[in-house]
Amino acid sequence: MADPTSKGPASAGPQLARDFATTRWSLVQRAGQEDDDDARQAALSELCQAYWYPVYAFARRQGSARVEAEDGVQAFFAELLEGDLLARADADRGRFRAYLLTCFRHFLANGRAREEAWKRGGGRRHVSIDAARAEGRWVAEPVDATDPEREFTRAWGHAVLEGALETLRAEYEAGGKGDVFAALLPTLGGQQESPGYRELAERIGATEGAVKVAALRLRRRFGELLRRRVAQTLVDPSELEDELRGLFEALS
Amino acid sequence: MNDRHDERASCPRCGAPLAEGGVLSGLCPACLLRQGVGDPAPFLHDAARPSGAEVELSAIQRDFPQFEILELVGRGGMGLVYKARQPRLDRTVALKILAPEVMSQPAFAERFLREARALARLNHPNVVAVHDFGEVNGRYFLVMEYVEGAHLRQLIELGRLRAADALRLVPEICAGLQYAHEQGIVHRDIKPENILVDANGRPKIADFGLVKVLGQDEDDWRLTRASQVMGTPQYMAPEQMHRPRDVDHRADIYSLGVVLYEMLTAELPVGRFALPSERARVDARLDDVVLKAMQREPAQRYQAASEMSTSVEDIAKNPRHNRERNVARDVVWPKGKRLNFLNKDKLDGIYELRGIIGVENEELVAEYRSQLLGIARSSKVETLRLPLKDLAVVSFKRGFLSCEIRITLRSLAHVEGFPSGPKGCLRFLFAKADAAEAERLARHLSLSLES
Repeated sequence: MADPTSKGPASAGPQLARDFATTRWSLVQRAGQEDDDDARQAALSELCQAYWYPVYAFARRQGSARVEAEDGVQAFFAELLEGDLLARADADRGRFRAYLLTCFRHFLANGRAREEAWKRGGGRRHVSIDAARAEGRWVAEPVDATDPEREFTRAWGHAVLEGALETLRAEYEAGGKGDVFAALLPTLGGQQESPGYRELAERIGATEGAVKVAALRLRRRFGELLRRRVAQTLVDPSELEDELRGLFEALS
Repeated sequence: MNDRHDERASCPRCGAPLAEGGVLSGLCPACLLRQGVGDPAPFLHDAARPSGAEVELSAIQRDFPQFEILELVGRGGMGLVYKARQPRLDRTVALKILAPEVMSQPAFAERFLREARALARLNHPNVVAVHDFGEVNGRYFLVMEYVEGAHLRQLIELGRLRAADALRLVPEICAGLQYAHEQGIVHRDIKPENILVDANGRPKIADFGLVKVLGQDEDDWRLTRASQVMGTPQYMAPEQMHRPRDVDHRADIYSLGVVLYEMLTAELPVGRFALPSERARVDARLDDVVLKAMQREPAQRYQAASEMSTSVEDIAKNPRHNRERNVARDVVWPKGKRLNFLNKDKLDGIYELRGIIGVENEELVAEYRSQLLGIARSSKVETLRLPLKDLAVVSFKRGFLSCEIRITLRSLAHVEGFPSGPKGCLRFLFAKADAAEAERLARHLSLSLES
């Protein structure tokens, strides 16, 4: 067992200002220069990869059948990444979350043309959304949230949390402390039968104080990653708290 | 579906349903978010209240009236970094506010003042200047030069660095290191994130000696390692891990060796790593520079940054263009190695091209079958052979759905039987899973253009 008292890995350390000034979403929006095109495309891909599920959830909540939603979402992202949608829809370019939903609504509203693309999307099997897993998740979602937009935001919140947790786990594992992460994870999320600190301490042979400190570090780092992840979908850093509040409301 | 929902476990803390599946499985999303970013209650119930970021910003502004605080540009374990303007001096600065937790370390205040004073004395074009430092209302801060540009990590990741850039940048980085070492200051945390490149392409080393200011070098190495950006112990000299008290300037030289390796190959030298010239098409003499800088024993490394600089400058001054390089080239794309590609047109269905692609005897070779209109599958396997010398531009794009190598030929001829893109242009699409290999192929092809 790694020493749980050693500092949580990866306080972000001396990060360069630019790291934060150039969020993924602001990179996407800095359109134009040919030179930046690759970086822009990569940033957009990365964002889409992280947030395709909310779109799928939205489509399903709207009443699309499973296959239809799957194909439609694939066609939508294909078109989004081709760049046409990005050029056309500047309705709300403030946040990636709002933008994605607006785009998807346009996409759905564009009637017959969309229908064609929708059908064609059926052939695009190489889209890397994991449809079977998506459906598995969909069925597992609670059914009380009937509003598609609310469903979208809720799924978005989950995607943010998942992303931050995955990064956190990877960091701990890279630092040889995967076991610390696994032991402390229950303290983060109100898991059932989450063991108390004392019990945890006994189990891993450390003092209770040491476990508390390690848990605090885990939490702090998680918070940093969470904020950073949300910030990646924004352009204006002052919107961060507001965006977090929106996610809170959707999740609680 | 309803049944499933009813059976769902709910959070013992807040009663919200627990998530199912994936990494969130069994956790309460609402509690997770609350744990991560603090209790939402204040802002949920009082919308008029300024948000956390605003409170922070205005508090900082109050404590630092001599600055116009422009924006929060960095948030990390060491503290917060604001971009700020100093109207009186008409300059933009980076204001670094150290995180409260670092101050809880023993004798922090004394050490901070002692070390920061030494840092503020550093004055060199390749070192990010510390203009001022101090403490206001319990906040310890550093005022530093604001560098508009990017750091090496970003340049490496964007694939913007060429061997020639490394040859130009490293001597300048060495100059900054040499200067600081002469003042008795060791950086202790040289890594791509700490080397900024300004708009004029000048490298500047940031956060000199901050590790020492924060007293982290005196703790055991686990602590030191943990407090750095995650996943970067690879940059640390062995003695930094095992004998932190014996660290001297030669630890920085080791780290710079690792950085140089990464600049040349875009990979970290881990375990029994390949030589730079085996991974990329670079001068084999650079292998020696990297190996010497990364010697395990400090006494066997370059003894001064200026020595390392001289080695690199010699290579830059006497470039070698000989056939040796082709050896390296073949290693980049192994002989006989093939990669599957699958081309479809945008309309998805008019044609489909499925095949394998590789490089043989200075030729790009693709064997493929084509399928038109989704019905007529041609049983004939076509072979396309393109001499590498006929390629003009090679680009690689990583998409969400797949990735793509796009090749522009020197002539605008249409390639027979290969209906892909405009005249003189070829596209090969690869599955997402093959992205790394496809990128390697693209890199190999584009390297062959240079000669």
